[in-house]
Amino acid sequence: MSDIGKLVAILFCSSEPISLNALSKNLASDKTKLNETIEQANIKLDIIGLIIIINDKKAQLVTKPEYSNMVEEFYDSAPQSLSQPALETLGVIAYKQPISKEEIDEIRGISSEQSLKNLLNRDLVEKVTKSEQTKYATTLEFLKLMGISSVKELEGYGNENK
Amino acid sequence: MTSFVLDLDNFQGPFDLLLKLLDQEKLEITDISLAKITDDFLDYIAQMDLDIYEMNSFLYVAAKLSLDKSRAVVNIKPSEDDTDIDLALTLKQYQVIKNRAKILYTLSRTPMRARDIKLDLFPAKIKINAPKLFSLYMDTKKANQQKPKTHRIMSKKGYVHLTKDKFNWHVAKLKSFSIDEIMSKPNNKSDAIIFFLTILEMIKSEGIFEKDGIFVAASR
Repeated sequence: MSDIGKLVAILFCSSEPISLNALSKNLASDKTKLNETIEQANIKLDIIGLIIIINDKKAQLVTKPEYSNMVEEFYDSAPQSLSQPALETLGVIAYKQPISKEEIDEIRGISSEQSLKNLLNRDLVEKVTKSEQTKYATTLEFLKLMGISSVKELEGYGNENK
Repeated sequence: MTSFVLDLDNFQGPFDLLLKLLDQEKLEITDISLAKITDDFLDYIAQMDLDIYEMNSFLYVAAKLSLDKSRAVVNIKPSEDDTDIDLALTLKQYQVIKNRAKILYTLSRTPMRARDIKLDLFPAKIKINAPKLFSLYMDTKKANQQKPKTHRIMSKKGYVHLTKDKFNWHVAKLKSFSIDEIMSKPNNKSDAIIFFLTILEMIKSEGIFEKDGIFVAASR
């Protein structure tokens, strides 16, 4: 069995993201080797419309964004709305992560408490602790929703000083 | 299967309102433009139904707008130790955020999708060792003693004959026995069931007993 085969088999069978630690352990490879395996797997998966997305903690096998509308029509899935404040808050976090609530509020000019709760409930952002301060960062669910495999793919990402 | 559609209808917060007012007047984001829309901003928020937290945010911006406008009228520059925000700069940054929100909205129209089926791939492993099995049997026996016995499952003789050859092999693994190990191979399932029934039957007939975590044969 190849490492790519093992990796895809594990991810295919799960509807939830799998931790990179668990994958490394099962494939007996370190993080660098695992990332290489994921890259190689994505080359092979490309022709069948699938992609493995990862963040610094987890990985998941998903459909490529170009199949989204077709899949949505096929399953007749009703989209859930995300409010304008939640969207703005998500935008601040995505481009400036990790970032504290106070910093988000300052940029938006208004409290983001409710938006943050909604985004946390939807697993689009998560709390991360940096220097004993609670900050927020985007999740794998965020990448799925945006149809991107990394936040670096966001238009204009990294064009500013934090 | 879930995805999100974003609602961009309503403005949010004082910065959003300022951008709307500037846009309405077709003005760029400058200190002069902000001075021009200060009265509109104050009129607008006077009519709004704000909660205490929102009110705080809107009033801060209203005060800042009024201060900047007053300074502009009498031509006073902010002092060097002025720690107030630069409203025009802050508004430009907020405009960037709004544009990014639009980017996210567009992206979110074509989400990636994962399998929507939850498979129970990682059930809790049941580890059964000799003391646990013995204890379970004794508890069951105690409970059964309080009820009238109506039937026997199978004869002891049947089980013992059926698994005679495999029994020794299984006993060797009893010290740390994992039912998953046997159950993981479909062909072993019937063997495993027979094996357990045999063990229970032998405990019942006092042919074996548990000692120091393993089963040992009773000497007769």
